[in-house]
Amino acid sequence: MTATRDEVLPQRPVSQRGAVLEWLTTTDHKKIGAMYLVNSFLFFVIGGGLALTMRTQLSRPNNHVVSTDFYDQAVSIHGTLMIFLVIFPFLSGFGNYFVPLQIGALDMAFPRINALSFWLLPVGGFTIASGFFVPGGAAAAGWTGYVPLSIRQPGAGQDLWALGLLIVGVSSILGAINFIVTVLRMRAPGMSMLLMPIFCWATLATSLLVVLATPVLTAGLMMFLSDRNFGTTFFDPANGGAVSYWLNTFWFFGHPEVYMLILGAWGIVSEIIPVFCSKPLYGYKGVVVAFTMIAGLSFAVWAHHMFTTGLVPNLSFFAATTELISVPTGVLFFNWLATMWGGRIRFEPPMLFALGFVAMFLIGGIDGVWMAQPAMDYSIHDTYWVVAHIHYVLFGGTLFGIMAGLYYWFPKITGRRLNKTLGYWHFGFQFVGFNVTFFPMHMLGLQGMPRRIAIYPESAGWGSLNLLATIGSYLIGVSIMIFVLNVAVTMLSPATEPADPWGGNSLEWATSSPPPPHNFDELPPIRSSRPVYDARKALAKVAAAPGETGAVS
Amino acid sequence: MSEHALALERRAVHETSNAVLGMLLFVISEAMFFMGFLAVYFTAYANAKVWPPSGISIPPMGLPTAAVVVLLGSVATMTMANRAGRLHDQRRVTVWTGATLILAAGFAGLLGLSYRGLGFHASTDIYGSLFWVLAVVAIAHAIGGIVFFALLLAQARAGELQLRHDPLQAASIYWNFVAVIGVSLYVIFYLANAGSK
Repeated sequence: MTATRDEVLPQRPVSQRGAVLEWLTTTDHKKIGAMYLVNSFLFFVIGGGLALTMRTQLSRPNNHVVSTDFYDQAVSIHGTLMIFLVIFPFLSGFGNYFVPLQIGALDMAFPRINALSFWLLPVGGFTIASGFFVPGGAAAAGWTGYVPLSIRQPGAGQDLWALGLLIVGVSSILGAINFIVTVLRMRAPGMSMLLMPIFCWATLATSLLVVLATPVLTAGLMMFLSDRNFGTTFFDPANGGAVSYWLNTFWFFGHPEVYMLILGAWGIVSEIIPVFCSKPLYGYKGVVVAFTMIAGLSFAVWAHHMFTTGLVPNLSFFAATTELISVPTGVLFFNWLATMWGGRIRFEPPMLFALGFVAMFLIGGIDGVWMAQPAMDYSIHDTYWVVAHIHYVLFGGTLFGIMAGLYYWFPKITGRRLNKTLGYWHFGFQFVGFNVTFFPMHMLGLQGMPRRIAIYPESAGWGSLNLLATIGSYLIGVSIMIFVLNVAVTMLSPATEPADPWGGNSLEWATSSPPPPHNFDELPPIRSSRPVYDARKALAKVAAAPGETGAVS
Repeated sequence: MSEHALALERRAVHETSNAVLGMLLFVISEAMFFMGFLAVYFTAYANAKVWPPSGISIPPMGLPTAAVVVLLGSVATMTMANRAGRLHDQRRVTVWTGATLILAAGFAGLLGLSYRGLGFHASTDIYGSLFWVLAVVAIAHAIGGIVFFALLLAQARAGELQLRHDPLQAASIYWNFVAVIGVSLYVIFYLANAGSK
C-alpha cells in the first residue's frame, strides 16, 4: 500500500458545520477513540453522581436523604453504568486510538463497523439511564439483575436496563471482532506477534473474552426480556424454567467480564512503567503468557459467584480454579516490580497513577483470594467486603490505570501535556480519597453490614466507618474536579508537544502529536518490541560521534 | 525469529482477508449465543420427568423436514457460488448466488409455514419458550442470509466480485453456520423427540 489516505481523498476546507458533521460521521479510529473517552467520562460523571448520592444517604444511621426506592435504583444504575459504560468503553477508547498507532496501521480493520460500535454505546447507555424518567423508575435489582426480583419489578425500568445492555453488548462484540482482526492482520511489516506492544496483547485477550462470553449474556438478556414481555417461562420454576439459568448465563459472562475490565488496565500500566523507569518491560513473554492464561482460566471460575446459593455441586473445583488465577496475576506483579528494580524512575503523573494502580490492585487481588475460599465466602458474601473488593479492583485497579493512561497519552491525543502540579494534586486526592472510602468497607463487611441497603440502625455500630467512607467519597469528587480543571487549563494552552514527550517505546510516539489523519508519514524500522527507543538510540549514537557520520549509513 | 518462523507467521497472517476472519469471529460469537440457549435446553431436558414438561405433543415433522432439505440444498448452491468466485466465473457466481437466494427464501418460507397452528405457546412451558424464541431467532438468521445474498447479487452484477472473492467466502461461512444451527435445532426440537407421542 503506497498511497496514503490524504493522497487518495481530496482535501476540502471544513466549515464549522462541516466540522460537527465530520465528528458525527467520522470513521477515523482516532476521532472514534477520542469520542469513546469523552463518552466514558460523561457516564463516569453520571455514575459518580449516583455514588455520591448513595454515600450521602449512608453517612449517618437512619438517614433519609433519598427514598429507599431511589437508593435501590441508584445502586443498580451506578453499577451498570460504571461497568458497561465507563470502565470497559474507556479501555476500548484507548484501544481504538492506540492499537492501530502501536502496530503502525492506517486505521482499524473495519472503520465503519468501528463507528457503529461507538454510536451504539451512548444509545445503550441512555436507554439504561432513561429508566429514571419512566413510571416505576429505573432498574432496581442491582447490576446483576437477579431473577425473580428483576422479573417482577413493575414499570419499564428493568426492560430499558436489559435492552440497553443488549445494545451495549452488540457494540462490544462488534468492537472486539474489529480489534482481533486489526491486531492479527494490520500490523506493520516486521512486527511479529511477539514484538507487538503489550497493550495490544491486552486488547487482543480482552477481545477474545468479549467474543466468547458476551454473546452468552445476550442470550440471557433475550430470555430475560421475553420472560418479562412475552410470557415465556425461562426463569419460572413452575413451568419448567429455573432461576439458576439466569445466574449461570449471567456469571458465565460475568466472570470473564471482570477480566475484560482489568486486562486493558494491565496493558496500560505495562506500557507506562517501562517508559518511566527507562528500562524494557521485564519478562515480556511472561506477561503475554500470563494474559493468555488468565483469559483462559476466567471461563472456569464463574460459579464462585454462586457459592452460597447451594447450586454449585463442586465448591472446591471452582475454589481451586479461582485460586489458580492468582498465579499468573502474581507473575504480573513480579514483572512490574522487576521492571522498576534498578530503573531510573521518573515520578511524573502517569507513573504515579501506575504505581497507585499496582498497590491498590494488589489489595483488591488479595481480597479476592480470601473470597475464593467457600468457607470464608459464606460469611462475607453480599456484605460490604464484596463492595470493598470490587472497588479495589475496578477503581483502585482499572480506574487508576485509566487515569495513568489519560495522563500518559493526553499529549499524543491533543498535543498538550496535562499540568504536572494539578496532576499531583489530582493523584493525592484520588489516592487518599479512594482508600478512605473503600478501606473501611472491609471492616464494615466483616462486621456484617449487607451491601445494597439504604438505611441501617444506630445500634448496628456502623455509623462512624460509614461517615468516614462518605468523607472519602467527597475527596474523590474533589480529585475529579481537579482533573476536569486540569483538562480545561491544559486545553487553553497552545498545542506544542513534540512527537515523543516521554521518551516512549512504541510506535504511537513515532508520529506527530496529535497524529495526522493517515497516522504516519514514515515508520521507523521494527526490529524489537521498542522501535521508537531503537530509533532514538541510533540517532543519539550518530549525534555523539559527529566526525564519523560519513562512516555510519 | 528465524526465517522459517517468519514465513509461517506471514502465511498465517496474510492468507485470509479481513472480511473472512471477521466473519469467522462473528460466527464464533454467534455459536456462543446459541450455546446459551442450548445449555438451558439440555439442563431443562435432563431435569424434566416428561418432555416436554407440560405434556404437549411435539409439532408435526413434515414441513420442518422439507425446510431442512431446502436449507442443505442452499448450502450446496452457496458452495458452488463460492467455487465459481474462486475461478472468477462471474456468470456462474450470479447464477449460483441467485439459486442460493431463492432456496434461502424457500427455507424461510417453509419455516414460517411450519410454525402455524401449533398447539402450544411461548408461555406454555420451557419447551414452548425455547421453541418460540429460537424460532424467531432462526427466521431472523434466514432473513439475514437473504439480505446477504441480495447484496452479493448486486455486487456480482456490478462486477465487484471480479476483483475480490472474499465477500462470497464470508457469506459462505455465515450460511454454513446457519445450516449447522438449522440442522441442530431440527434434531433437538423434532427428531430427538420423534418417539414420544
